Amino acid sequence: MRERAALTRQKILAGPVPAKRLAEPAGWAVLVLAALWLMLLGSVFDQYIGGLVIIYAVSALGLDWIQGRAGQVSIGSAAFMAVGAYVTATATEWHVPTLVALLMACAAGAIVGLVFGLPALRLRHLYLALSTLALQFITQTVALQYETSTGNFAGFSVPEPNIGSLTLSGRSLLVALTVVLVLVTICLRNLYRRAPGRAWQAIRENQMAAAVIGIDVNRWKLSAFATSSALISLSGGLLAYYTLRVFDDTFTLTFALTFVAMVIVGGLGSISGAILGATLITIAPYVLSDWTNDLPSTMPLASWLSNNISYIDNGLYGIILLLFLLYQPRGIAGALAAAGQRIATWIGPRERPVPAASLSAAPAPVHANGSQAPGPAPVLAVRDLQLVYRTGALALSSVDIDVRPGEIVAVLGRNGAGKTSTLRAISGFFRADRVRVSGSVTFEGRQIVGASPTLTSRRGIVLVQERDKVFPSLTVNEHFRLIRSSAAAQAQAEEIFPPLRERASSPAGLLSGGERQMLALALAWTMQPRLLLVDELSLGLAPAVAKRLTASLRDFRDRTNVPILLVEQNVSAALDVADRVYIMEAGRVVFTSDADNVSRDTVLNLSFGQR
Amino acid sequence: MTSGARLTLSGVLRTFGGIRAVDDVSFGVAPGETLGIIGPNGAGKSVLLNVINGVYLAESGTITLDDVRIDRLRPHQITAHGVGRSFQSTEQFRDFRAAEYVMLGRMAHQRTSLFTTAVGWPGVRRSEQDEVTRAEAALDRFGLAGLAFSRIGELPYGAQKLVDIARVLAAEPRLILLDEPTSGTTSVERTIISDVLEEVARSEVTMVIIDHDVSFISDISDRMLVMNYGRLLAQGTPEEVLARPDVIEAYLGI
Repeated sequence: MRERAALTRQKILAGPVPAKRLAEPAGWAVLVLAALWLMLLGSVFDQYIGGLVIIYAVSALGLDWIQGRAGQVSIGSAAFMAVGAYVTATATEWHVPTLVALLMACAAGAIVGLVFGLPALRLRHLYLALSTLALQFITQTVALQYETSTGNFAGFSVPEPNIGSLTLSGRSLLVALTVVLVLVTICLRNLYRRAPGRAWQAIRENQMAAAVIGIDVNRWKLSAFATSSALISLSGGLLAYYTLRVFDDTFTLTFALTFVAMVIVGGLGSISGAILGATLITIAPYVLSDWTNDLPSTMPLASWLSNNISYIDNGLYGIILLLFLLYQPRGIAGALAAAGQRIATWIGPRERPVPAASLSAAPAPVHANGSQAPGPAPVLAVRDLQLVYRTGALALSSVDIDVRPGEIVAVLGRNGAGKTSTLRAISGFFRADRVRVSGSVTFEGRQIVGASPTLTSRRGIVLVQERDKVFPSLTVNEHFRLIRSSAAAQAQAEEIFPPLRERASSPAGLLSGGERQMLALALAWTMQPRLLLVDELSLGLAPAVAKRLTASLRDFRDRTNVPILLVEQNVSAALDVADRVYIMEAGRVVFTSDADNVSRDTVLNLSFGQR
Repeated sequence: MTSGARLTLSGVLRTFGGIRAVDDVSFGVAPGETLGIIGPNGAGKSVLLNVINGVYLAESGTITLDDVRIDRLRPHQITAHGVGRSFQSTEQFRDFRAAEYVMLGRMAHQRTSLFTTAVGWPGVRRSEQDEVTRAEAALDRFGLAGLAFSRIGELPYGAQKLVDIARVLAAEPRLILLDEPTSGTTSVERTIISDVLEEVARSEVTMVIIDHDVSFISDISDRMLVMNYGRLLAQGTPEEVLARPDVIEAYLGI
């Protein structure tokens, strides 16, 4: 019995089987082939660039760790590399073995990362990025001071690395670097696929929700800062051994931004993406200068191009970065994954589309007496409106609503019945949320379904939203100025709502709930709407204040004859002012009637009806 | 002194910019009891859950879990004390696979070392495999075993809600807080969710559920609370509460 029930559940709930991802293995194959080609056939110069690619890839992996996994924005890569490089250089002066020197670089990076991770416990996004920018400038200054105070005015020179008696250079160094990159990759894969990776991802998606799930957000953030900084510092140490020199001019802000470019171009949150990004961004300048040198000298601008290409690339990075951010925010790895998906769906069996919502056929709404009487043509006619959230939740299904000239129409129903969704669908406020709206909404004879809020408000539809409908830091007066209301209009509003005059110069954030509602309504009126949409006017207000506000709505209608579509949970307040009511339940209109014909019991039955 | 109650709130207050979102609320939940909370939009129900699990600090009053004060703890500490909470939406975790998400719920009970994980220590591999098995079992309870490796964002909405509840249950909490488990679901999905929750309610688990589906919540609850303007308006058995005229007025505004 139970098994059968479980099977049925699974049948009903089963979504599509995700397509196999081909991109990742393909990406790895390309990288392995490139490495082999480089070792066996590449020129010395190619091999040198190959080594740089590996070192930068290690650093990019560190940045991807903190930014792509833990979601903490950082532009501190150059600073952490500097820490690693200077610690390594200093360690070699004490004749410390290579591996120990690199471990010291990691440890120093971890400590600095921990200290500069502390602001991340409080700061987010832009502010966090700025705090890592501070680290950049501090490090550059300290590095310069360190060089001058130790008498290394031209930077430190570093001996060739060695393991035991084996000195690493040329091809053997390249092999050693490859081994480091492979080990780092394996460790990161282990971390990302297991508990730590899940914890970081959860923090990246939503810090508060992660804490509620039981993740110690501070501990995991700091651990990500310390460990990823250690990795970036390791890359700095490797760079010191690779270039045999450490100089403060290397670790500039531009250098730091190159790594940001790498992880974004490659694709945040992907190991192969970070390696790919590091490869492309590192070799791009060399490829470009080769290309400009090969241009025929007869071509106009050719010599200018080849002389200036190194200046141009910086700008080019900016442009590439911008293009990726705008058109391919998931980077090359994301694009490859998407392409892989597409190929998999081509060659694989067809996926079943997700049933958007398997609602049983909607019963036709009950029409009470009077509502079917032919009236004047509606100003607003909503027909068969359906709305599905990106999660697949069905908010509205086949909603029909009419608002006739000069009419106050109330939409009633419990929480979650779809009232607010209806208003937002009409006013276009869903456009940004990847919500599917279908059906028809005509306003004054024109189709506006799916139009933007800008367009609907230009047509004269003004929405008074529930809750946050005023700007808390602007004063009451500033609100009126913001919408360029005339002094007369403001005076009239203040006459209807005297508290607005008394509190004209206090910030809206300090107004009481009722006063905020008054302000929002007054602003809506002075915008001279052709249709007013009001969402939950009485929400959270004392009954007396709610009554006063709803009464003011009727006054407004009587003065201007502007129709109003009102959403309310407070049935008695709504019945007081409305000419007609709709009752919604589970995303459908279940009842329409003239307000006079609606009794308290009707609403009670319809809303508690299933009991 | 022990009260014998699993959860006790006394005189809990939380304001937002002068609005008393939770205003002097006191109640207790006995072990194994299922408590339903209803009330109009903005009555303070979700804020109340957020105060219990530490997302918002109570400005005054005390909250105890099995006679231990939890009102000064941070959310992850409260979760580690055995309080599980579902979300209204799992939208933020859409990139997680269902099993990974369920495993996330058990993190508070695990000690994880970055070093042993990174180097792939055999013990870590073994415990990871145990966790996967456990997560699959938790999903299997809701008939979702076949979807364990699908991404949450690719699942239908009702299945997402069930995965979230599976995540809460997998952590073996002493107290479960459910925030609108049936909202936004189709009638078919609603039946499945309420079947599953009724099964959970029959076991020894203590639950506090917020929902707007009156028939669902009155069927599943041993006792109900009604909130309005941040205060407790009424409490009692579902029949008592729903028959009160003041409840009908507050909830439907008649």
